[in-house]
Amino acid sequence: MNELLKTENVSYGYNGCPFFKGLGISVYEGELIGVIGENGSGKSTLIRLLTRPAEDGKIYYRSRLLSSMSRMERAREIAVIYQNEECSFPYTCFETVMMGLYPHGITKPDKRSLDFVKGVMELTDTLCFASKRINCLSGGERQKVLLARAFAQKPSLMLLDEAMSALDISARIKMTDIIYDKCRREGMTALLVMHDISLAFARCDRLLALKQGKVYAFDKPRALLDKKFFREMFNVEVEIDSDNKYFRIIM
Amino acid sequence: MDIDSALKKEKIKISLCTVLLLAILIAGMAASACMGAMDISTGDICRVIANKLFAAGFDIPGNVTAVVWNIRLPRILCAVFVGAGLAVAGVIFQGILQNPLADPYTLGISTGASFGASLAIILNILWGIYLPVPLCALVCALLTLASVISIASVSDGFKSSSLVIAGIIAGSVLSSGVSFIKMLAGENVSAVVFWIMGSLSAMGWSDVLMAAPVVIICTLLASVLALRLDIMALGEEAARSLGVNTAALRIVLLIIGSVMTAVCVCICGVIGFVGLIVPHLLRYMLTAKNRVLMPLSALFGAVLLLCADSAARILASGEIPVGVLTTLIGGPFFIFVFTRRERRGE
Repeated sequence: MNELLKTENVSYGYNGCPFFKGLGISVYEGELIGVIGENGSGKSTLIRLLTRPAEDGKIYYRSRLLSSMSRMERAREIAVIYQNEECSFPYTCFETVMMGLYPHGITKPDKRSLDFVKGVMELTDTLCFASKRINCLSGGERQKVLLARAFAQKPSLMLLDEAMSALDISARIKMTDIIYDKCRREGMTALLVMHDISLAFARCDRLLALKQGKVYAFDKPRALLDKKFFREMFNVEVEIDSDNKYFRIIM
Repeated sequence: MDIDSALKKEKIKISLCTVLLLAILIAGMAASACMGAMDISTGDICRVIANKLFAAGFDIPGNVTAVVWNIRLPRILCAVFVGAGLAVAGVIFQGILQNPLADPYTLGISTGASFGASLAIILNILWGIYLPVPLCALVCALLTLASVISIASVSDGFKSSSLVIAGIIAGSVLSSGVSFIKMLAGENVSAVVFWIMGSLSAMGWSDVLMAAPVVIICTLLASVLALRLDIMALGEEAARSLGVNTAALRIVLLIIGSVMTAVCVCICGVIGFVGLIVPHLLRYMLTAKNRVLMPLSALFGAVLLLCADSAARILASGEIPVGVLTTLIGGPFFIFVFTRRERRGE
Protein backbone atom coordinates (compact mmCIF):
# COMPACT_ATOMS: atom_id res chain seq x y z
CA MET A 1 0.00 0.00 0.00
CA ASN A 2 1.18 3.52 -0.79
CA GLU A 3 1.66 6.01 1.97
CA LEU A 4 -0.93 8.79 1.67
CA LEU A 5 -0.34 10.93 4.72
CA LYS A 6 2.60 11.19 7.01
CA THR A 7 3.32 13.48 9.93
CA GLU A 8 6.89 13.99 11.03
CA ASN A 9 7.69 15.48 14.40
CA VAL A 10 4.58 17.66 14.39
CA SER A 11 4.05 19.74 17.50
CA TYR A 12 1.15 21.97 18.36
CA GLY A 13 0.08 23.93 21.39
CA TYR A 14 -2.59 26.33 22.60
CA ASN A 15 -1.54 29.70 24.01
CA GLY A 16 2.05 28.62 24.40
CA CYS A 17 1.22 25.32 26.18
CA PRO A 18 2.43 22.33 24.15
CA PHE A 19 -0.28 19.76 23.41
CA PHE A 20 0.91 17.52 20.60
CA LYS A 21 4.65 17.01 20.76
CA GLY A 22 6.65 15.23 18.09
CA LEU A 23 3.61 13.53 16.51
CA GLY A 24 4.57 11.00 13.87
CA ILE A 25 1.99 8.82 12.13
CA SER A 26 1.62 7.29 8.69
CA VAL A 27 -1.66 6.58 6.95
CA TYR A 28 -1.88 4.42 3.82
CA GLU A 29 -4.17 4.57 0.79
CA GLY A 30 -7.46 2.74 1.21
CA GLU A 31 -7.29 2.59 5.00
CA LEU A 32 -10.22 3.29 7.27
CA ILE A 33 -8.83 4.61 10.50
CA GLY A 34 -10.78 5.24 13.67
CA VAL A 35 -9.49 7.95 15.97
CA ILE A 36 -10.54 7.19 19.52
CA GLY A 37 -9.83 8.64 22.91
CA GLU A 38 -11.30 10.42 25.88
CA ASN A 39 -12.73 13.93 25.67
CA GLY A 40 -9.89 16.40 25.37
CA SER A 41 -7.39 13.77 24.24
CA GLY A 42 -6.65 15.73 21.04
CA LYS A 43 -8.83 14.02 18.41
CA SER A 44 -10.32 17.23 16.99
CA THR A 45 -6.97 19.00 17.26
CA LEU A 46 -5.43 16.20 15.21
CA ILE A 47 -8.07 16.61 12.50
CA ARG A 48 -7.42 20.36 12.41
CA LEU A 49 -3.66 19.77 12.28
CA LEU A 50 -4.02 17.50 9.27
CA THR A 51 -5.94 20.08 7.26
CA ARG A 52 -3.45 22.91 7.35
CA PRO A 53 0.28 23.36 6.88
CA ALA A 54 2.08 22.43 10.09
CA GLU A 55 3.57 25.27 12.10
CA ASP A 56 6.10 22.97 13.73
CA GLY A 57 7.14 19.74 12.02
CA LYS A 58 6.23 18.37 8.61
CA ILE A 59 3.07 16.90 7.13
CA TYR A 60 3.41 15.04 3.85
CA TYR A 61 0.55 14.21 1.51
CA ARG A 62 1.51 11.68 -1.19
CA SER A 63 5.16 12.42 -0.33
CA ARG A 64 4.58 16.12 -0.94
CA LEU A 65 4.67 18.72 1.78
CA LEU A 66 1.11 19.74 2.62
CA SER A 67 2.32 23.33 2.92
CA SER A 68 3.40 23.27 -0.74
CA MET A 69 -0.12 22.46 -1.89
CA SER A 70 -2.48 25.29 -2.77
CA ARG A 71 -5.72 25.73 -0.88
CA MET A 72 -7.71 24.44 -3.87
CA GLU A 73 -5.42 21.45 -4.38
CA ARG A 74 -5.93 20.49 -0.75
CA ALA A 75 -9.69 20.94 -1.09
CA ARG A 76 -9.76 18.62 -4.11
CA GLU A 77 -7.90 15.95 -2.17
CA ILE A 78 -9.11 16.27 1.40
CA ALA A 79 -12.72 16.59 2.57
CA VAL A 80 -13.31 17.54 6.18
CA ILE A 81 -16.37 17.63 8.38
CA TYR A 82 -15.75 19.42 11.64
CA GLN A 83 -17.56 18.83 14.88
CA ASN A 84 -20.77 20.88 15.27
CA GLU A 85 -20.79 22.50 11.84
CA GLU A 86 -23.70 24.95 11.72
CA CYS A 87 -25.16 27.09 8.97
CA SER A 88 -27.10 30.22 9.92
CA PHE A 89 -28.57 30.75 6.47
CA PRO A 90 -31.46 28.91 4.79
CA TYR A 91 -29.58 27.12 1.99
CA THR A 92 -31.35 24.07 0.66
CA CYS A 93 -29.74 20.68 1.21
CA PHE A 94 -29.14 20.45 -2.54
CA GLU A 95 -27.31 23.80 -2.55
CA THR A 96 -25.22 22.70 0.42
CA VAL A 97 -24.17 19.47 -1.29
CA MET A 98 -23.45 21.36 -4.53
CA MET A 99 -20.91 23.46 -2.62
CA GLY A 100 -18.83 20.29 -2.34
CA LEU A 101 -18.13 20.62 -6.08
CA TYR A 102 -16.64 24.11 -5.70
CA PRO A 103 -13.01 22.87 -5.46
CA HIS A 104 -13.54 21.16 -8.84
CA GLY A 105 -14.55 24.45 -10.45
CA ILE A 106 -18.24 23.56 -10.75
CA THR A 107 -20.21 26.57 -9.65
CA LYS A 108 -23.58 26.02 -11.34
CA PRO A 109 -25.50 22.76 -11.63
CA ASP A 110 -25.29 21.36 -15.19
CA LYS A 111 -26.76 18.00 -16.20
CA ARG A 112 -23.64 16.01 -15.27
CA SER A 113 -23.09 17.62 -11.88
CA LEU A 114 -26.81 17.46 -11.14
CA ASP A 115 -26.82 13.71 -11.76
CA PHE A 116 -23.68 13.29 -9.67
CA VAL A 117 -25.12 15.27 -6.74
CA LYS A 118 -28.40 13.34 -7.01
CA GLY A 119 -26.41 10.11 -6.83
CA VAL A 120 -24.50 11.24 -3.77
CA MET A 121 -27.71 12.36 -2.07
CA GLU A 122 -29.41 9.10 -2.88
CA LEU A 123 -26.47 7.22 -1.41
CA THR A 124 -26.71 9.19 1.83
CA ASP A 125 -30.52 9.11 2.03
CA THR A 126 -30.79 12.87 1.67
CA LEU A 127 -32.44 13.07 -1.74
CA CYS A 128 -35.91 12.93 -0.16
CA PHE A 129 -35.32 16.29 1.57
CA ALA A 130 -33.07 17.87 -1.07
CA SER A 131 -35.17 21.02 -1.37
CA LYS A 132 -35.58 21.47 2.40
CA ARG A 133 -33.59 24.18 4.13
CA ILE A 134 -30.59 22.96 6.05
CA ASN A 135 -31.34 25.07 9.11
CA CYS A 136 -34.75 23.37 9.44
CA LEU A 137 -33.34 19.84 9.66
CA SER A 138 -32.75 17.65 12.67
CA GLY A 139 -29.17 17.13 13.84
CA GLY A 140 -28.97 13.69 12.24
CA GLU A 141 -30.42 14.84 8.91
CA ARG A 142 -27.97 17.75 8.88
CA GLN A 143 -25.06 15.38 9.45
CA LYS A 144 -26.22 13.24 6.53
CA VAL A 145 -26.25 16.35 4.29
CA LEU A 146 -22.74 17.27 5.44
CA LEU A 147 -21.58 13.74 4.65
CA ALA A 148 -23.16 14.05 1.21
CA ARG A 149 -21.26 17.34 0.73
CA ALA A 150 -18.02 15.62 1.71
CA PHE A 151 -18.68 12.77 -0.77
CA ALA A 152 -19.50 15.34 -3.47
CA GLN A 153 -16.01 16.73 -2.97
CA LYS A 154 -14.69 13.42 -4.44
CA PRO A 155 -11.84 13.33 -1.93
CA SER A 156 -8.95 10.91 -1.66
CA LEU A 157 -8.83 11.53 2.07
CA MET A 158 -11.81 12.09 4.30
CA LEU A 159 -11.40 13.53 7.79
CA LEU A 160 -14.55 13.28 9.86
CA ASP A 161 -14.70 14.71 13.35
CA GLU A 162 -17.67 13.07 15.04
CA ALA A 163 -19.59 13.57 11.82
CA MET A 164 -21.99 10.75 12.67
CA SER A 165 -22.59 11.47 16.34
CA ALA A 166 -26.22 12.51 15.83
CA LEU A 167 -27.16 9.65 13.51
CA ASP A 168 -29.34 6.80 14.67
CA ILE A 169 -27.65 3.43 14.91
CA SER A 170 -28.79 2.11 11.52
CA ALA A 171 -27.83 5.32 9.72
CA ARG A 172 -24.48 5.32 11.51
CA ILE A 173 -23.77 1.77 10.40
CA LYS A 174 -24.92 2.56 6.87
CA MET A 175 -22.71 5.65 6.58
CA THR A 176 -19.71 3.83 8.02
CA ASP A 177 -20.32 1.02 5.53
CA ILE A 178 -20.45 3.51 2.64
CA ILE A 179 -17.11 4.93 3.76
CA TYR A 180 -15.74 1.38 4.22
CA ASP A 181 -16.84 0.50 0.68
CA LYS A 182 -15.27 3.64 -0.76
CA CYS A 183 -12.02 2.77 0.99
CA ARG A 184 -12.10 -0.78 -0.36
CA ARG A 185 -13.33 -0.14 -3.89
CA GLU A 186 -12.16 3.38 -4.74
CA GLY A 187 -9.02 3.54 -2.63
CA MET A 188 -10.30 6.44 -0.55
CA THR A 189 -8.74 6.87 2.87
CA ALA A 190 -10.71 7.98 5.91
CA LEU A 191 -9.92 9.11 9.42
CA LEU A 192 -13.01 8.98 11.58
CA VAL A 193 -13.09 10.49 15.04
CA MET A 194 -15.61 8.31 16.83
CA HIS A 195 -16.94 7.53 20.26
CA ASP A 196 -18.79 4.42 19.14
CA ILE A 197 -16.18 1.90 20.24
CA SER A 198 -18.08 -1.15 18.94
CA LEU A 199 -18.31 0.35 15.46
CA ALA A 200 -14.70 1.49 15.58
CA PHE A 201 -13.48 -1.99 16.47
CA ALA A 202 -15.83 -3.68 14.00
CA ARG A 203 -15.18 -1.59 10.86
CA CYS A 204 -11.84 0.19 11.08
CA ASP A 205 -8.62 -1.18 9.64
CA ARG A 206 -6.56 0.52 12.32
CA LEU A 207 -7.34 2.47 15.43
CA LEU A 208 -5.44 5.56 16.48
CA ALA A 209 -5.86 5.83 20.23
CA LEU A 210 -4.97 9.25 21.64
CA LYS A 211 -4.41 10.05 25.28
CA GLN A 212 -3.54 13.55 26.50
CA GLY A 213 -2.14 14.61 23.15
CA LYS A 214 0.00 11.53 22.69
CA VAL A 215 -0.43 8.48 20.49
CA TYR A 216 -1.22 5.75 23.01
CA ALA A 217 -1.61 3.07 20.35
CA PHE A 218 -1.95 2.89 16.57
CA ASP A 219 -2.71 -0.64 15.54
CA LYS A 220 -5.25 -3.11 14.18
CA PRO A 221 -8.40 -3.44 16.34
CA ARG A 222 -7.61 -7.07 17.15
CA ALA A 223 -4.23 -6.06 18.54
CA LEU A 224 -5.88 -3.60 20.93
CA LEU A 225 -8.53 -5.98 22.10
CA ASP A 226 -7.54 -6.46 25.72
CA LYS A 227 -8.78 -5.33 29.11
CA LYS A 228 -5.67 -3.30 29.88
CA PHE A 229 -6.20 -1.11 26.81
CA PHE A 230 -9.73 -0.18 27.87
CA ARG A 231 -8.70 0.37 31.48
CA GLU A 232 -5.83 2.67 30.58
CA MET A 233 -7.52 4.46 27.70
CA PHE A 234 -11.03 4.99 29.02
CA ASN A 235 -10.82 3.98 32.66
CA VAL A 236 -13.50 1.29 32.19
CA GLU A 237 -13.52 -2.38 33.00
CA VAL A 238 -14.63 -4.63 30.14
CA GLU A 239 -15.09 -8.28 29.42
CA ILE A 240 -13.89 -9.42 26.00
CA ASP A 241 -15.44 -12.42 24.41
CA SER A 242 -13.73 -13.34 21.14
CA ASP A 243 -12.88 -16.16 18.77
CA ASN A 244 -11.04 -16.07 15.44
CA LYS A 245 -13.87 -14.39 13.56
CA TYR A 246 -16.04 -12.44 15.99
CA PHE A 247 -15.49 -10.49 19.17
CA ARG A 248 -17.72 -8.90 21.77
CA ILE A 249 -16.82 -6.15 24.19
CA ILE A 250 -19.01 -6.15 27.28
CA MET A 251 -18.80 -2.97 29.32
CA MET B 1 -40.65 17.35 -4.50
CA ASP B 2 -37.77 16.15 -6.68
CA ILE B 3 -34.74 18.34 -7.36
CA ASP B 4 -35.55 19.10 -11.00
CA SER B 5 -39.02 20.43 -10.31
CA ALA B 6 -37.79 22.28 -7.20
CA LEU B 7 -35.08 23.97 -9.27
CA LYS B 8 -37.57 24.82 -11.99
CA LYS B 9 -40.03 26.23 -9.45
CA GLU B 10 -37.27 28.31 -7.85
CA LYS B 11 -36.24 29.69 -11.25
CA ILE B 12 -39.83 30.73 -12.03
CA LYS B 13 -40.22 32.33 -8.59
CA ILE B 14 -37.00 34.32 -9.00
CA SER B 15 -37.90 35.45 -12.55
CA LEU B 16 -41.38 36.54 -11.45
CA CYS B 17 -39.98 38.41 -8.48
CA THR B 18 -37.39 40.18 -10.64
CA VAL B 19 -39.99 41.26 -13.19
CA LEU B 20 -42.37 42.40 -10.45
CA LEU B 21 -39.71 44.42 -8.64
CA LEU B 22 -38.54 46.00 -11.91
CA ALA B 23 -42.12 46.96 -12.79
CA ILE B 24 -42.70 48.44 -9.33
CA LEU B 25 -39.42 50.34 -9.52
CA ILE B 26 -40.21 51.88 -12.90
CA ALA B 27 -43.78 52.72 -11.89
CA GLY B 28 -42.56 54.06 -8.55
CA MET B 29 -39.97 56.29 -10.22
CA ALA B 30 -42.58 57.67 -12.61
CA ALA B 31 -45.11 58.24 -9.82
CA SER B 32 -42.53 59.85 -7.57
CA ALA B 33 -41.43 62.19 -10.35
CA CYS B 34 -45.01 63.38 -10.85
CA MET B 35 -45.61 63.80 -7.13
CA GLY B 36 -45.07 67.11 -5.35
CA ALA B 37 -46.26 70.68 -4.89
CA MET B 38 -46.14 71.28 -8.63
CA ASP B 39 -48.41 69.05 -10.68
CA ILE B 40 -46.35 67.59 -13.51
CA SER B 41 -47.53 64.87 -15.91
CA THR B 42 -45.53 61.78 -16.84
CA GLY B 43 -45.42 63.06 -20.41
CA ASP B 44 -43.79 66.32 -19.32
CA ILE B 45 -41.24 64.39 -17.28
CA CYS B 46 -40.34 62.27 -20.32
CA ARG B 47 -40.06 65.43 -22.41
CA VAL B 48 -37.75 67.10 -19.88
CA ILE B 49 -35.52 64.02 -19.86
CA ALA B 50 -35.54 63.88 -23.67
CA ASN B 51 -34.66 67.58 -23.84
CA LYS B 52 -31.78 67.19 -21.41
CA LEU B 53 -30.35 63.95 -22.74
CA PHE B 54 -31.01 64.19 -26.48
CA ALA B 55 -31.69 67.91 -26.97
CA ALA B 56 -35.14 66.91 -28.32
CA GLY B 57 -36.42 70.48 -28.32
CA PHE B 58 -39.82 69.96 -26.67
CA ASP B 59 -41.48 73.11 -25.46
CA ILE B 60 -41.45 72.85 -21.66
CA PRO B 61 -41.62 75.79 -19.22
CA GLY B 62 -38.32 76.55 -17.48
CA ASN B 63 -39.71 76.09 -13.97
CA VAL B 64 -41.03 72.59 -14.84
CA THR B 65 -37.63 71.65 -16.27
CA ALA B 66 -35.90 72.99 -13.17
CA VAL B 67 -38.16 71.10 -10.76
CA VAL B 68 -37.94 67.82 -12.65
CA TRP B 69 -34.27 67.91 -13.61
CA ASN B 70 -32.71 69.65 -10.63
CA ILE B 71 -34.93 68.51 -7.75
CA ARG B 72 -37.03 65.43 -8.38
CA LEU B 73 -34.85 63.28 -10.63
CA PRO B 74 -31.68 63.53 -8.51
CA ARG B 75 -33.71 62.74 -5.42
CA ILE B 76 -35.36 59.71 -7.07
CA LEU B 77 -32.08 58.39 -8.43
CA CYS B 78 -30.38 58.91 -5.07
CA ALA B 79 -33.17 56.93 -3.38
CA VAL B 80 -32.73 54.15 -5.95
CA PHE B 81 -28.94 53.91 -5.68
CA VAL B 82 -28.73 54.43 -1.93
CA GLY B 83 -31.50 51.85 -1.35
CA ALA B 84 -29.75 49.39 -3.65
CA GLY B 85 -26.37 50.06 -2.06
CA LEU B 86 -27.57 49.64 1.52
CA ALA B 87 -29.41 46.42 0.65
CA VAL B 88 -26.41 44.86 -1.11
CA ALA B 89 -24.15 46.01 1.75
CA GLY B 90 -26.61 44.24 4.07
CA VAL B 91 -26.19 40.99 2.12
CA ILE B 92 -22.40 41.37 2.31
CA PHE B 93 -22.26 42.15 6.03
CA GLN B 94 -24.68 39.36 6.95
CA GLY B 95 -22.55 36.99 4.90
CA ILE B 96 -19.13 37.94 6.21
CA LEU B 97 -20.31 38.14 9.81
CA GLN B 98 -22.26 34.88 9.34
CA ASN B 99 -25.17 36.53 11.07
CA PRO B 100 -28.55 37.06 9.39
CA LEU B 101 -29.28 39.91 11.80
CA ALA B 102 -26.22 41.99 10.92
CA ASP B 103 -26.60 45.13 8.81
CA PRO B 104 -24.35 47.69 7.10
CA TYR B 105 -24.14 49.63 10.37
CA THR B 106 -23.06 46.73 12.62
CA LEU B 107 -19.38 47.58 12.28
CA GLY B 108 -19.74 51.23 13.21
CA ILE B 109 -19.09 52.56 9.70
CA SER B 110 -22.23 54.72 9.83
CA THR B 111 -21.27 56.07 13.26
CA GLY B 112 -17.90 57.01 11.77
CA ALA B 113 -19.68 58.84 8.95
CA SER B 114 -22.02 60.54 11.45
CA PHE B 115 -19.02 61.65 13.50
CA GLY B 116 -17.31 63.11 10.42
CA ALA B 117 -20.47 64.87 9.29
CA SER B 118 -21.23 66.24 12.77
CA LEU B 119 -17.67 67.51 13.11
CA ALA B 120 -17.85 69.23 9.72
CA ILE B 121 -21.25 70.78 10.47
CA ILE B 122 -20.18 72.12 13.84
CA LEU B 123 -16.83 73.46 12.58
CA ASN B 124 -18.60 75.17 9.69
CA ILE B 125 -20.99 76.84 12.13
CA LEU B 126 -18.45 77.74 14.82
CA TRP B 127 -15.57 78.88 12.61
CA GLY B 128 -17.55 80.04 9.60
CA ILE B 129 -15.52 77.87 7.22
CA TYR B 130 -16.76 75.54 4.49
CA LEU B 131 -15.86 71.94 5.09
CA PRO B 132 -17.78 69.66 2.68
CA VAL B 133 -19.99 67.55 4.96
CA PRO B 134 -20.28 64.44 2.71
CA LEU B 135 -16.52 64.36 2.15
CA CYS B 136 -15.79 64.58 5.89
CA ALA B 137 -18.36 61.86 6.52
CA LEU B 138 -16.74 59.64 3.90
CA VAL B 139 -13.21 60.19 5.21
CA CYS B 140 -14.27 59.42 8.81
CA ALA B 141 -16.23 56.33 7.69
CA LEU B 142 -13.16 55.01 5.86
CA LEU B 143 -10.92 55.79 8.84
CA THR B 144 -13.38 53.85 11.02
CA LEU B 145 -13.16 50.93 8.60
CA ALA B 146 -9.35 51.03 8.77
CA SER B 147 -9.39 51.02 12.57
CA VAL B 148 -11.95 48.17 12.68
CA ILE B 149 -9.75 46.12 10.33
CA SER B 150 -6.60 46.82 12.34
CA ILE B 151 -8.29 45.87 15.65
CA ALA B 152 -9.83 42.71 14.18
CA SER B 153 -6.67 41.60 12.40
CA VAL B 154 -5.06 40.91 15.77
CA SER B 155 -7.06 37.65 15.85
CA ASP B 156 -5.91 34.56 13.96
CA GLY B 157 -7.65 34.37 10.61
CA PHE B 158 -9.57 37.65 10.86
CA LYS B 159 -12.63 36.11 12.54
CA SER B 160 -16.17 37.46 12.29
CA SER B 161 -16.50 37.65 16.09
CA SER B 162 -13.38 39.86 16.26
CA LEU B 163 -14.84 42.09 13.56
CA VAL B 164 -18.08 42.53 15.49
CA ILE B 165 -16.20 43.33 18.71
CA ALA B 166 -13.93 45.80 16.86
CA GLY B 167 -17.05 47.38 15.29
CA ILE B 168 -18.75 47.72 18.65
CA ILE B 169 -15.65 49.34 20.18
CA ALA B 170 -15.21 51.79 17.28
CA GLY B 171 -18.95 52.51 17.17
CA SER B 172 -19.16 53.22 20.91
CA VAL B 173 -16.19 55.59 20.92
CA LEU B 174 -17.48 57.47 17.87
CA SER B 175 -21.01 57.57 19.23
CA SER B 176 -19.69 59.31 22.35
CA GLY B 177 -17.82 61.65 20.02
CA VAL B 178 -21.08 62.51 18.23
CA SER B 179 -22.77 63.16 21.60
CA PHE B 180 -19.90 65.43 22.58
CA ILE B 181 -20.21 67.37 19.33
CA LYS B 182 -23.97 67.72 19.90
CA MET B 183 -23.24 69.14 23.33
CA LEU B 184 -20.75 71.61 21.84
CA ALA B 185 -23.27 72.61 19.17
CA GLY B 186 -25.60 74.15 21.73
CA GLU B 187 -28.57 75.73 19.96
CA ASN B 188 -27.21 74.61 16.56
CA VAL B 189 -27.68 70.97 17.51
CA SER B 190 -30.66 70.60 15.14
CA ALA B 191 -28.35 70.74 12.09
CA VAL B 192 -26.38 67.76 13.37
CA VAL B 193 -29.47 65.83 14.47
CA PHE B 194 -31.23 66.38 11.14
CA TRP B 195 -28.22 65.10 9.20
CA ILE B 196 -27.94 61.98 11.37
CA MET B 197 -31.66 61.20 10.97
CA GLY B 198 -31.12 60.61 7.28
CA SER B 199 -32.94 62.42 4.53
CA LEU B 200 -33.02 62.50 0.76
CA SER B 201 -34.12 66.12 0.50
CA ALA B 202 -31.83 68.52 -1.34
CA MET B 203 -30.10 65.81 -3.36
CA GLY B 204 -28.29 67.01 -6.45
CA TRP B 205 -26.68 65.45 -9.49
CA SER B 206 -23.32 65.46 -7.71
CA ASP B 207 -24.83 63.07 -5.15
CA VAL B 208 -26.17 60.82 -7.92
CA LEU B 209 -22.80 60.82 -9.64
CA MET B 210 -21.15 59.86 -6.37
CA ALA B 211 -23.60 57.08 -5.45
CA ALA B 212 -24.24 55.47 -8.85
CA PRO B 213 -20.74 54.36 -9.87
CA VAL B 214 -19.80 53.23 -6.35
CA VAL B 215 -22.98 51.19 -5.91
CA ILE B 216 -22.82 49.65 -9.39
CA ILE B 217 -19.11 48.77 -9.23
CA CYS B 218 -19.29 47.44 -5.66
CA THR B 219 -22.38 45.34 -6.46
CA LEU B 220 -20.67 43.83 -9.50
CA LEU B 221 -17.49 43.09 -7.54
CA ALA B 222 -19.47 41.52 -4.71
CA SER B 223 -21.44 39.40 -7.19
CA VAL B 224 -18.19 37.92 -8.49
CA LEU B 225 -17.45 36.72 -4.95
CA ALA B 226 -21.02 35.56 -4.27
CA LEU B 227 -20.39 31.81 -4.39
CA ARG B 228 -17.42 32.07 -2.03
CA LEU B 229 -19.64 34.04 0.34
CA ASP B 230 -22.20 31.21 0.14
CA ILE B 231 -19.54 28.70 1.11
CA MET B 232 -18.40 30.89 3.98
CA ALA B 233 -21.91 30.53 5.44
CA LEU B 234 -21.05 26.89 6.15
CA GLY B 235 -18.60 28.11 8.76
CA GLU B 236 -15.03 29.34 8.84
CA GLU B 237 -13.30 25.95 8.94
CA ALA B 238 -15.67 24.24 6.50
CA ALA B 239 -15.17 27.05 4.00
CA ARG B 240 -11.40 26.79 4.35
CA SER B 241 -11.57 23.03 3.77
CA LEU B 242 -13.49 23.73 0.56
CA GLY B 243 -10.66 25.93 -0.70
CA VAL B 244 -11.94 29.38 0.22
CA ASN B 245 -9.42 31.86 1.61
CA THR B 246 -11.82 33.12 4.26
CA ALA B 247 -9.56 35.82 5.72
CA ALA B 248 -8.86 37.41 2.32
CA LEU B 249 -12.48 37.07 1.20
CA ARG B 250 -13.72 38.66 4.41
CA ILE B 251 -11.38 41.63 4.12
CA VAL B 252 -12.16 42.24 0.43
CA LEU B 253 -15.92 42.04 0.99
CA LEU B 254 -15.61 44.14 4.13
CA ILE B 255 -13.95 46.90 2.11
CA ILE B 256 -16.54 46.62 -0.70
CA GLY B 257 -19.49 46.68 1.75
CA SER B 258 -18.02 49.46 3.86
CA VAL B 259 -17.19 51.72 0.94
CA MET B 260 -20.74 51.29 -0.36
CA THR B 261 -22.20 51.99 3.10
CA ALA B 262 -19.90 54.97 3.69
CA VAL B 263 -20.86 56.57 0.37
CA CYS B 264 -24.58 56.00 1.00
CA VAL B 265 -24.38 57.40 4.54
CA CYS B 266 -22.29 60.40 3.57
CA ILE B 267 -24.82 61.33 0.88
CA CYS B 268 -28.01 61.14 2.90
CA GLY B 269 -27.26 60.30 6.53
CA VAL B 270 -28.17 57.16 8.43
CA ILE B 271 -31.11 55.31 6.87
CA GLY B 272 -31.85 52.29 8.99
CA PHE B 273 -33.41 48.90 8.36
CA VAL B 274 -33.10 48.77 4.54
CA GLY B 275 -29.85 46.80 4.83
CA LEU B 276 -31.34 44.49 7.44
CA ILE B 277 -34.86 43.81 6.18
CA VAL B 278 -34.27 43.46 2.45
CA PRO B 279 -31.71 40.61 2.45
CA HIS B 280 -33.45 38.94 5.36
CA LEU B 281 -36.86 38.87 3.66
CA LEU B 282 -35.56 37.78 0.27
CA ARG B 283 -33.39 35.08 1.80
CA TYR B 284 -36.35 33.44 3.50
CA MET B 285 -38.91 34.12 0.76
CA LEU B 286 -36.81 33.21 -2.27
CA THR B 287 -33.25 31.99 -1.97
CA ALA B 288 -30.12 32.25 0.14
CA LYS B 289 -27.82 32.03 -2.89
CA ASN B 290 -25.86 35.29 -2.91
CA ARG B 291 -25.49 35.25 -6.70
CA VAL B 292 -29.25 35.77 -6.96
CA LEU B 293 -29.74 37.52 -3.64
CA MET B 294 -27.40 40.44 -4.42
CA PRO B 295 -29.09 41.76 -7.60
CA LEU B 296 -32.55 41.06 -6.19
CA SER B 297 -31.67 42.88 -2.96
CA ALA B 298 -30.42 45.81 -5.00
CA LEU B 299 -33.79 45.98 -6.78
CA PHE B 300 -35.84 45.49 -3.63
CA GLY B 301 -33.72 48.00 -1.67
CA ALA B 302 -34.20 50.57 -4.43
CA VAL B 303 -37.97 50.00 -4.45
CA LEU B 304 -38.21 50.14 -0.66
CA LEU B 305 -36.27 53.39 -0.23
CA LEU B 306 -38.01 55.02 -3.17
CA CYS B 307 -41.43 54.15 -1.71
CA ALA B 308 -40.35 55.23 1.79
CA ASP B 309 -39.02 58.54 0.47
CA SER B 310 -42.19 59.15 -1.53
CA ALA B 311 -44.24 58.40 1.57
CA ALA B 312 -42.02 60.71 3.63
CA ARG B 313 -42.78 63.47 1.13
CA ILE B 314 -46.56 63.09 1.18
CA LEU B 315 -47.31 61.91 4.73
CA ALA B 316 -46.61 65.22 6.47
CA SER B 317 -47.11 68.81 5.42
CA GLY B 318 -43.40 69.39 5.94
CA GLU B 319 -41.24 66.35 5.44
CA ILE B 320 -40.40 63.38 7.65
CA PRO B 321 -36.73 62.36 7.36
CA VAL B 322 -36.82 59.10 5.42
CA GLY B 323 -34.40 57.48 7.92
CA VAL B 324 -36.95 58.01 10.67
CA LEU B 325 -39.72 56.54 8.53
CA THR B 326 -37.78 53.42 7.50
CA THR B 327 -36.92 52.74 11.15
CA LEU B 328 -40.45 53.49 12.37
CA ILE B 329 -42.08 51.15 9.86
CA GLY B 330 -39.17 48.75 9.41
CA GLY B 331 -38.73 47.97 13.11
CA PRO B 332 -42.23 46.65 13.85
CA PHE B 333 -42.39 44.96 10.45
CA PHE B 334 -39.13 43.19 11.13
CA ILE B 335 -40.39 42.05 14.55
CA PHE B 336 -43.51 40.66 12.82
CA VAL B 337 -41.49 38.78 10.20
CA PHE B 338 -38.96 37.51 12.72
CA THR B 339 -41.51 36.25 15.28
CA ARG B 340 -43.64 34.65 12.54
CA ARG B 341 -40.62 32.82 11.17
CA GLU B 342 -39.49 31.71 14.61
CA ARG B 343 -43.00 30.40 15.43
CA ARG B 344 -43.01 28.40 12.23
CA GLY B 345 -39.60 27.05 13.18
CA GLU B 346 -37.85 28.16 9.99
